[in-house]
Amino acid sequence: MADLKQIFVDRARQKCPVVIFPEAENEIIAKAAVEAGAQGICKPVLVGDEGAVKGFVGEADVTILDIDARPELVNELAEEYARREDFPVEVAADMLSNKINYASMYVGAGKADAIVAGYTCATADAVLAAQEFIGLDADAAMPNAYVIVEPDNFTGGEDGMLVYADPVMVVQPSSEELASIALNTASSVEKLLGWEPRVACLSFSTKGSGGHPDAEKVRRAVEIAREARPGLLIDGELQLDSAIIPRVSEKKIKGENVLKGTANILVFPDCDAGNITVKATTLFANGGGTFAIMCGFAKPVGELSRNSDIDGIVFSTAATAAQC
Amino acid sequence: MAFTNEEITDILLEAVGKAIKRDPATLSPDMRWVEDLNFKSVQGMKVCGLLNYKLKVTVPLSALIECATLQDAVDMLAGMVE
Repeated sequence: MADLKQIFVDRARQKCPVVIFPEAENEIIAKAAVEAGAQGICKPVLVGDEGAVKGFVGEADVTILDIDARPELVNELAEEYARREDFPVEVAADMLSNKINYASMYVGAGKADAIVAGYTCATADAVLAAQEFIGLDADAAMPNAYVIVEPDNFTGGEDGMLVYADPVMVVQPSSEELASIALNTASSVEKLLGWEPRVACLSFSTKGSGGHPDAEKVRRAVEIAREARPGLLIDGELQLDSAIIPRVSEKKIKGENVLKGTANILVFPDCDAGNITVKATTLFANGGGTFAIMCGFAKPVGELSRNSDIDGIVFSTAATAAQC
Repeated sequence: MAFTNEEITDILLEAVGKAIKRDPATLSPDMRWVEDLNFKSVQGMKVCGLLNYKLKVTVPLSALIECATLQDAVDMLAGMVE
């Protein structure tokens, strides 16, 4: 197995960005943030009650923002949000008294490079806050997620690894949304892993072999993505084997063959297909895929699983910081 | 603090107008969130923020976007501020 943690840690250390943790009143989060700082992965900013956080981390070299005790911290960002959105400042202050919102706006205002959240709050709340206060990448229609897998006995893709998008966030994507998933994921993978993206948009059909609206939806997504980013290596609709096995690709695809069976990013036609394939890869091929990376935001947003331990949170922080 | 249905309607239309960057005077209670306003859940954060502040209640975004029309939302809010 590739040592993804080491890859992420090495990339993160190159920049050591400022990462904000809005759930630092939780002991595991506070300690993980300090550990990430100690490893040189990031400069952590912890949001929470100063007494509680110091009780967890002692005199560690971290910034603590106690926004309940220091309303001026909220007011400063509220004024910026109110200006940006032409919004009543007192309402903005009320919204930003929520720690997830505050931390997202802290990133949106350029005071931090990334946020790591979702341990004590619902993922949906973290995603909504990030969309509202950080915003989307210029090319993104919406955010999405992807996972990195490394199935047993597979040597294709990128040194045996593949990226699956989107198995968790966008349930029934339209052609436009599929195109956005492809573009967001390609950009994020370039930054995080340093790969040249080779994107296959998957279907039950290869290049028109199945004349069905679902296959047409995927074909249209490829057209949209190509218009948005002409240099991107992307093709579809393709069956899985045509996408990742060169001899099958050569046999099945007549005419233009962009990827030649070498795809390293697989875009699934919907969340059902993506999620089931991740689980199947994990269960039947020992393929990892147990953490998701979010992309499409203007700044990196790291999502945490609620059953993560300190090591898992440090890993997610490294994956987030590596995208800065 | 009690609010009349008219006041709640005005507050909601103003909030929705702010969120979708549209003049509230062009909005009406019979409008449907998705079909007529192309309302996205992310825009709900601003609406809820304004409603929470002005009506002094905590309006869950999930409850708001389950309402088919703005009038349905007014009815729901009227029940909350009673």
